[in-house]
Amino acid sequence: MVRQKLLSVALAGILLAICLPNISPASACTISASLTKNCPEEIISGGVTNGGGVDLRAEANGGSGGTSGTPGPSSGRSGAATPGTPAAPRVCAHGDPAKPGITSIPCGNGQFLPLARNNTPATPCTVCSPDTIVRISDLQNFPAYAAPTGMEPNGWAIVGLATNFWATASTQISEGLLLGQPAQVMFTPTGYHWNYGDSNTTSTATGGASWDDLGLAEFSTTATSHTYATKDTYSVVLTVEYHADYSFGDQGWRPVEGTVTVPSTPITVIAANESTVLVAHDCNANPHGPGC
Amino acid sequence: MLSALALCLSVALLSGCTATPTPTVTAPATTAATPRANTEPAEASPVFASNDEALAAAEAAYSAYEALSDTITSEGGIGGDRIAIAASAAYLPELLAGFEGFSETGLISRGTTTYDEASLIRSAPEPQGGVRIELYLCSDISAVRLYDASGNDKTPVDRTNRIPLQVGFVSSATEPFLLLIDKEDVWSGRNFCQ
Repeated sequence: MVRQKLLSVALAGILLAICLPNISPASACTISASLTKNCPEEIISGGVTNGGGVDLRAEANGGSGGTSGTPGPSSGRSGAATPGTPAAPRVCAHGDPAKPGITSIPCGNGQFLPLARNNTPATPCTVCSPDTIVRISDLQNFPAYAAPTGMEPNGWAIVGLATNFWATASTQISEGLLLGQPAQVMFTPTGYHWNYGDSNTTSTATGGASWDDLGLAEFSTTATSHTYATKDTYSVVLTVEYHADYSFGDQGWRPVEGTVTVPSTPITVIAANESTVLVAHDCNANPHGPGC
Repeated sequence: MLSALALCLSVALLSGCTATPTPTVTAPATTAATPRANTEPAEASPVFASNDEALAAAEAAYSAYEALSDTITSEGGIGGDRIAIAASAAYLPELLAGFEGFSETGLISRGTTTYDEASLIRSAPEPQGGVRIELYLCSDISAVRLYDASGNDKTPVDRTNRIPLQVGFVSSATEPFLLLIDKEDVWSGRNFCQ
């Protein structure tokens, strides 16, 4: 379901990524300063208010005693704590140990817990309410757009020789309302799953690169290349797996439980025999022909 | 309901219109959350018994800060150090610079700064004692006009009157219920005040 929704908003996500200005760090604005000028001018008047259709909401998964803080007052959740007991945490989450720069997760009231492996809630988070863990399902309306892809030779493959594919996925930041509060969600690519259209698939940790960028000769084998065995027309689909982090205010990024997968636009590949393609085209007349 | 509470607090505080408002100290409704001497330092007890209580206390503190700031700007920004009783040591220089900048304009303010849409971001005890509370709110200066010495209205025409803010408060271990404003950061994302 999440995948379907992401598919439906993929185009909107691309447009949004183009339209959205860069996210600026928080800037101070005292009352006295705001009286005489816009402060800070670049944020207030800079058009950040253009949400581009990301006025999104996700629901908290039910109430949990004393764990408010993310949902606003309109959520109606009670924040009352039992007298004599520590206040329950505001947000708990479990994250990905492979995520650079994240070694622990805030678990309410200043406690920091070590990360759980494989996004499983194995790490004791005894004072956390599972209901307040932010999951991918809470982000279903935040757009993560499809990664741009490339291949060479462009649109062609020579049977028996390597065809190189790559993707230029990068970290994306979306903004909207999460659990009823303004928030930012950052998607970081963590895996690339290639379906080459001939029943062969592979998964790679990186998106690959062109032969030129890799310093390799044409038709060299790369981590993301594929060699077709028979001539035909194939549809290659790349699915990028993203890890998500969210941020309320300036509290820093926190991991979201789960991953998002976004399929790319299929690439049509015409595989032909070497003898056929080499005699059928003139590189001067068709510079994009195979081998040119 | 919380909006109503915020409104009541604002009205109650602002209708007083004292010349030198002081930060509001809001004690919790119950004594259960009072820091206990035998509590281990690593697990600080919450200062406020609930998030609602923390939000109400922070709103009261912000209202008091607003009123104090209005008083100072109504006098041309002179005596900005009066804000010290409502601000943390870390944030005070920024506030003082703001008042100094205001005084250099030669203007005075008339009217009251208000806020709305306050909601809690977090409330957590500090490891060394006290509490840190952060809110989202919309600061509204639309009712505040600026005048020069001749009484001419010099309010900037294109001024942004509603500002989405993340407001932070801190308190100390010795006075855990005395919330001091520690930051007013403009929310850099979608303007939730429009």
